[in-house]
Amino acid sequence: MFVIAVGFTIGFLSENPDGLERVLMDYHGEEWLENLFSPWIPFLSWITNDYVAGFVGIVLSITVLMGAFYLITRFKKRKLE
Amino acid sequence: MHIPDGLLDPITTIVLWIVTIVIMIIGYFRMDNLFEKEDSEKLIPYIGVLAAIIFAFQFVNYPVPGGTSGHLVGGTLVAIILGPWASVIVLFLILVIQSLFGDGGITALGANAFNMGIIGGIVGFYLVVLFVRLLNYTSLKKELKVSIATGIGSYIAIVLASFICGIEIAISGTIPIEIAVPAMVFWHILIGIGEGIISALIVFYIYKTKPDFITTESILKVK
Repeated sequence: MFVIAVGFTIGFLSENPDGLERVLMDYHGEEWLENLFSPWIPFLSWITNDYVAGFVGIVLSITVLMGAFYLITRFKKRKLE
Repeated sequence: MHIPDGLLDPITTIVLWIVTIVIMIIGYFRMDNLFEKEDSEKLIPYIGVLAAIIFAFQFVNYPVPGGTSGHLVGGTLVAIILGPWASVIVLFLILVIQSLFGDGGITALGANAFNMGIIGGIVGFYLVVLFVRLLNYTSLKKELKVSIATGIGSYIAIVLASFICGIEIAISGTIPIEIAVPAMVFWHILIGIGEGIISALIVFYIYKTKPDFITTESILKVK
């Protein structure tokens, strides 16, 4: 949260395309990149506010990763018993 | 470097999914040492914090000269902290969450996990091991050796991942290989500098404040 807060507040964020987007846009143009076929609509793409998206993403990351590694630890210990 | 849906052809997509799943299964069995200890539950909250840090850093783009931007990938960083095999699983799960926001495609998850988790994590980790062994010949302090090695290793891993990503795009017929590979590598030679600096600073900070959190010290063999 600190990183996002500082990054957003001091305007450290860049709206420029990342490396891959830049390569694709240079070759095919921006419109081509925006019209790539996707088989689904991302569940959380309706969140347009960057702060909210960052907060939800962090909460999800903590929950999913802790849950996954809790299960991994439990399975591995059970195997030893 | 998040590949969106619709960019890769079906064969490349399926092959990279299979490779990623196989490596994650191998990874599950190879990371026994870390998660079979009596007090291994203590690691879980730290993994949660690490996940939050990686997600947050991947969310913040920094401007790069030439009209592009970069963000931390964190594969090598996670591998130094939790080990190379755990890093693939961590990166995969973070990429799943990011794909829910539309950052990286759901069908391209295998390719993204391959580039950022396997190349960034496993290959990056062994590059760091190599550089630590080289730096062991110097009289630098332990934390400096690991931090410098992490910076260089994560930088090379990002450039290598961009090279592989360029090949994947070319194989899929999206952009000719003579354009895709040099262009991807060129931009990531610049973008990777940020990755190297941020990773090195985080490892240095952890070494100073909570060195136990670096679980790979026995593999790094830093003197």
